[in-house]
This record gives sequence, C-alpha cells and structure tokens, in this order.
Amino acid sequence: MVLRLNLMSFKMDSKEVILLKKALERQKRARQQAEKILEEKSKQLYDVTQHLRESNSRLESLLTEKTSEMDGVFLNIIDPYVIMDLEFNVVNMNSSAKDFLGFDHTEKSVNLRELVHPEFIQYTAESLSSLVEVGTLKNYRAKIVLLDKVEKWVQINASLVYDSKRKPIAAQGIIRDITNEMEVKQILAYQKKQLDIIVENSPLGIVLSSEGKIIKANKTFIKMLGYSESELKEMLIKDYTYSGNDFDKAQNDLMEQMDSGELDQFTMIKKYIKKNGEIVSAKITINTLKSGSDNTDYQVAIIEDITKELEAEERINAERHKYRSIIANMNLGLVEVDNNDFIQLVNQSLCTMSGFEESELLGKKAAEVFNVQNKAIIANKNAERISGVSDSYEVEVLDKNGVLRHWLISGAPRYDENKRIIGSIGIHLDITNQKQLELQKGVLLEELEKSNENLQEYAHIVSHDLKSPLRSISALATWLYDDYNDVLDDSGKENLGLMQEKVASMDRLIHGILEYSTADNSALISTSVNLNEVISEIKDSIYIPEHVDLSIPTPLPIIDADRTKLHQLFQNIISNAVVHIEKENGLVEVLCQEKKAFYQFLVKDNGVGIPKKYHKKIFDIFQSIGDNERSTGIGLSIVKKIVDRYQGEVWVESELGEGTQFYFTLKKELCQNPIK
Amino acid sequence: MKGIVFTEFLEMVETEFGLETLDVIIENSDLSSDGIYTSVGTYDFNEMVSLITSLSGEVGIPIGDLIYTFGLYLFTSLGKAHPEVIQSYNSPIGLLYSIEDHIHVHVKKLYPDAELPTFKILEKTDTSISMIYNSSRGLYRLAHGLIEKAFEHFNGSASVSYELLKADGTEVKFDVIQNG
Repeated sequence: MVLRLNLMSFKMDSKEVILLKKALERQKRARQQAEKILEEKSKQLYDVTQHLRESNSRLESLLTEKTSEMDGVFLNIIDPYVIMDLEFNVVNMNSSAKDFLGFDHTEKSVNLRELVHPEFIQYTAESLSSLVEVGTLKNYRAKIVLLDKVEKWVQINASLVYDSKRKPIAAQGIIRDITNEMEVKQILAYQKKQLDIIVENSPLGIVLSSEGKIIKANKTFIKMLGYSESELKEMLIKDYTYSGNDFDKAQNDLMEQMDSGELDQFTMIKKYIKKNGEIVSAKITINTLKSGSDNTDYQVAIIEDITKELEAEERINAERHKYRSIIANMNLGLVEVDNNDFIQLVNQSLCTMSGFEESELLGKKAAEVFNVQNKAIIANKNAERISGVSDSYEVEVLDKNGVLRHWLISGAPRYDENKRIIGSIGIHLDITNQKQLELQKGVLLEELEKSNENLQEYAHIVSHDLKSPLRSISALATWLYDDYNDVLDDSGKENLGLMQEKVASMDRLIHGILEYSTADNSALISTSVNLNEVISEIKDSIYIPEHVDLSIPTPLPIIDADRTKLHQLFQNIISNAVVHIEKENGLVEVLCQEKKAFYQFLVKDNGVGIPKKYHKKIFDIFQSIGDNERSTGIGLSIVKKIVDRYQGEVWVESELGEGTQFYFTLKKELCQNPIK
Repeated sequence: MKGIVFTEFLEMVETEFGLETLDVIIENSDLSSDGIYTSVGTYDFNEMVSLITSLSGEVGIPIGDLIYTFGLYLFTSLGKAHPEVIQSYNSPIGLLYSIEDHIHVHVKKLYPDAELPTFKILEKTDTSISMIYNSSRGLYRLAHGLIEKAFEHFNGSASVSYELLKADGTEVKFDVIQNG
C-alpha cells in the first residue's frame, strides 16, 4: 500500500512502473526460488539427522557387545593377568599368567603372598596398602619364587576392583617378567663398576666435561693438576689451561670445529697450570658426544702427562745434536749403509778421505762407489754384519783421484728400535801414512840387520887381521931383545919393554872390540848359573892387587842365564873396581837383592871414586877415565850391552875418595830356563 | 555459477546504470532463468556471459573493464555479507595469501558445490605477492578488481600487473606490489 501510494504520489510515468513491476516480479520469484531451495535443504538435513541417529544406535549396541567381550580379552591378553582378593588369594588369571606362575587357580588355590621372595615381603605389604589407599599401583618390582623354586623378577601394574558400592573387593594386575631386564641391569651395574675401576686407576687422566666445565675427572687427572675434584668442578677449564702460546689458536680452531660438528675427535698437546703453579704438558685426545634430551655436547678427554717425555725428548735432541756435531767434526770417516749396502749417511771426514762429494755417495751402493781393491773382504764383512758381528779390518782402496789409500774400518751392525738389523755403520780411519811408515820400517830393519852383520863380520876380520901383525911385532920385539941383549943399553931395553906393553894394550883393545861387537849378537845360552862360583872363578883369573880383598858377604843366588855373559859382566865391573883402590885395605863386595821382577846386584868398592860428570859417560864405548894402562874404555860399555839384553838397568853411585857402587838389574823373566 | 554473483551483478547494474538498463539487458539476454536469481541458487555461467555481453553493448564499455568494475563492487558486497572473514586479516597481502587456504574454505562451507578459481602463490614478501590465477571461467579481470579493492579496503593501494599465460585468460600470473 505504501509503495503504491508513493508510486502514485511521485506520478511516475508508466514505463517506470512497468519496470518496477517487472523487477518486483523477479524479486518475488527469486524469493520463491530461495524458499524452495531452503525446503530442499531442510529435507536433506532431516535425512542426514535420521541417518546419524541410526548410526549412533548401531554404535551403541556395538559398544555394549565390546564391553562384554572385555573380560574375555583380559583373559586372552599376552601378558600374565591376575585378579586376587585383598588377601592375595587368586580369584582369576589368564592362561599367560598360568604359564608364567606355573599353576592353575582352578585346580589349586594359591595365595600369592607365599610366592613373594622373603626380602620383598615388607615392600609388598607397603605396596598393597598404597594400592588400597590410592586405587592403583604402578611399577611394583619384586623378586618372586615360583612353586618350582625358580626365582623371577616381576613388575606389576595393578588397580583395585570395586563392588557396586565402590568398596574395594579385589585387585587386578598385569605382570611383566623383568628377570632378563634385571639381569641386564645387574650386568650393566657390574660393568659400570668395572669401568669405574678402570677409569679411576687409569694412568691416563680421564675427564668428562661440558661447556668448558668439568663434570667428572678421575684420580689421575686430579693428581696431575693438584686441585681437588670440587675445586675443579667450580673452575672453568680455561682457568687452568696455560695460554699465551702458539697452540692457543690451533686449539680454539679445533674446538670450534668440534662445536660445529665438523669434528668429533682430535688430539693435541696442551699445557695445564697446576695448583702449585707448575706447568704440565699433556697430550690430550678429545671426543665429543651428544647425549641427554637437550642434546648437550659432552667432551671426553684422555690426558696423558708428557712433561717427562718432553723433557726426555729435549735431552735426546740435545744429545742427538751433540753426537751429530761429533760425527760431523770427528776425524774419522763415517758411513751408514742399509742391508742392501746402499749408503744412507756419510760425514764430512769420509768425503775428504774418499775425495767424493756427499751427493755423489748418498743412495749409491757402497761396494760400487768405493774402489776397494780386495772386494771379497767387503762382501764377507757385510755378510758378517748381517749376522750381527762387529769387528775391524783393513782395506786398500783407490780414492776418487785413483790414489791408493789404506783404511782401517770398524764395522758394526745398525739396529732399529725393534732390535732388527737394518744395515751397518762403518768408522773409517785413513792409515795410509802409518802403513807407509810400517813398510819403511820393515825395509830399514832389514837394512840394519844387513849392516849389523857386515859390521860384525868386519870386526872379526879386522881383529884377526890386526892381531896377527901385532903378534909378529911382539915376536920381533922379543927376538930383538933376546938377540941384541948385549948390545942394547938400558934405554933401548926399556923402549923395547914399552913396545911390548903397547902391543899388549893394543891386543886387549882388539879383544875388547871383538867382545863388544858380539856382546849383543851371539845367542844367549841359558844354563843354571851359580854366581858364587862365577865370582870365585873371576877372583882366580884376574889381577887383584895385594891390598884389595874381593868378598861375597852373603851368598849370591843361582839363576838361569848365559854363564859366559854373566862372567863377562861381573868380571868387567870387578876388574874395574879392584884396580882403582888406593886405600891400604881395599875391599870390593858383591851383593844381591831379589826384587819382585828382577835381581838387583851391587858391586861396591872403597876406591878412588868416579867424578859425577862421568857417571853416565863411563858406559859409552872408548870412554876411560884416569890413565890406567890396563883400561881400554870398552869394559863398561860391554856391561851396558849385557844388562840391556837382560832388559835391566845399570847405574853408578860414587863419592870421590870414598868409593863407588855399581848397581845393575837383570829381569827375572829372562833368567829362567824354559827347559827346567 | 553461484547465485550471489548474479544478484550482486544485477545490483551493480541497477546502481551504476539504472533500472532501465538492467531491464534491457535481462530482456536482451534470452536467459533460461528469466533473470530471476537468488544468492543461494546456482545458475548457468553462460547467463553471466550473456548479461555482461549485453551490458557492454548497451553502455559501450569493453567487457573486460566491466568485469573489472564488477570485481571492485563484488569485494564490497561480499565484505558486507561476511565481515568476519575479512576482519581476521590485518593486511591485504595476508588476505590474498590465504585465499585458497582460508577464504575459499569458508565459501565451500556455505556453498559446497561452488566452482572456485585456484590461486597458486609463487612468491610472497611483506609488500608484494605473485600468484597464478587458474579458472575455466577466465574471469581474471574480476580477480583484478577484487585484488585492488582488497588494498583499498585496508586504506592502501597496489600496482597490480598481470600476464596471460594462456590466451583465453584461464591461466594468468598476477604480480601485486603494495604502494607506499
């Protein structure tokens, strides 16, 4: 009505009215259309609701069915399931429980309390009262003894069963056999204990740390640092890490790599500061492991105190350095070869000796590079070296310039740390000069021998040749004296007498030279010599002035020696002594002292004495003091020669006007007859 | 096609061009529904094509521009009808990003048989989004209008560029960059 009034009042033209009518008609029909759609939707909704209702009731009945099946299910569940009254009497059990517990409650009534191991009775009672109070019991764990005496560990989760008035009447429980689990646990505990023992007694420090702090450290580590375990746990690792050295950065790099997961193990050398301020060097191996729910990084570090090793290493290095410089600078050539004779090392001296550069030698085969003249020796010696023999030998070798050298080589096997032979070391001494001297000496000796022989021969010839004209002169002088005795005046006779005397003197001189020349050449013929007899023979054979007495205060020993030579020896000294006494009562004594290695003899007189300056000289040939006609100056030099042959010594002590003591020694070793 | 699109379209024609134009295009379009639409119904898409074509002929505006204009209009209408959907967003980009996962899910609740275009998100930042429109209807200009209006709704604006991946406009890539 309102619309119409409006239309009317606005006097709309008919076209607009028609349009509006049409529009209205469309709206009306659209509304009807919408209503129809809504009706359809309502019908659909109703159908769906109906369907849901049916489904629900189906589900409900299904649920009822399932609930009634539950009891059966319980009896059929895999784990042992038992219902008991609150006095532990079994009310019901499933087949699995029957198998496990080993009895059937329908055949035999069993009180479960009887199965509980005595150690767990108290615990069991407490658990039951807790069950009654709370209504459920979780993780009851106890040991039970089955009827066949087998012990088992069980874990029980139980709940109370109530009657319709909510009064507890029974308990139901599911039993789990945890015997194996417990065994495993015990084994684990045992192993942990073993592990703890190992860790605690390890000679290596073992540390578990996280986020720069120690969580656990073993005794060795604690002892190493001197801090107590609680002190260590309070401190950060960097607090007692010695820093300020080069490996700080390297260490940080490694730790960063480990933190980022690029690395789960590394080994390094680091230094710790002990509580007392000392520094400990340690070789440390760090392993990282993730563990725990928060995936925290843990580090397990194995720490070995290598302070001593480092010191030892330094000492070894110093020693090594020392020996290296000794080897480099020693005057002996050194070569090291391997088992195949390849040169591994030479020193400067060897290069000088051989004329080769070091580079020409290293890696070469020694037998090939050194031009050894007698190669067989080297091969032989190398073989000996491999069997572990050390010795020395001489070789002739041509150096790089082809000059012949003589080397004395001392060879010894080289061993590695496992005592296996890995080659040999040769120390080379260049003995070319010695060798040449030796050769020269041989030649000289030969020459000397020859000239000695010549000399002796010459002495013999000369003395014989000289003696015969001398005898002729003596005979001629005698004849002259005899034939012209009447004609010659006193002066002439005296001159002839003097002539005879000079001839005799000359004869003695020749005799002396002959003796001297044979004194050290003719072989010593050892016999047992009674020196007392020798002296008395001398007493009879030489001229002893009236006023002089020759005596042996104590008997002389009997020794093994050349009788003739000893006779000569004593006679030469004694004859010298007896003629040089001016005192009224002259006395010459022969004495002997037996020493450890030699006999020491003394011929003592109370004669004129020998001036000091002659004490040495008198033993040289042709040295005579005084103007005694009978002295040739040869006697004492023969004495010296004989004493020399017995490796003894001769010397003189004298006081002018008081007397002279002639001492000489004979080596005992040479006074013993081997054919005794 | 859902009735609400038709009712809103006719509403726009009436508002923008007057009742007479509306009547003319309904009469000219030879519609099996006789131009009677309810938002809860479902109608043949070809009727929409006929209506738009007629309107274009009647008012001399290209079809694409008309569809675009309708998109601008439709956003406001839909926003009025279901304000709670738009209220759950605080940015136009967030809204665009959730077309598939949220808005179209709501649509499906009300109109289980609705045939909706898909929007595949290629890239999204705080100030831009690019996505691929995919629909057998080829009404990408409608989407264009809806997108621009969405920015306007949040008191902003955006430069929206599109690229036809298929000539018939059934697959179109939109690059939307928020201004300012």
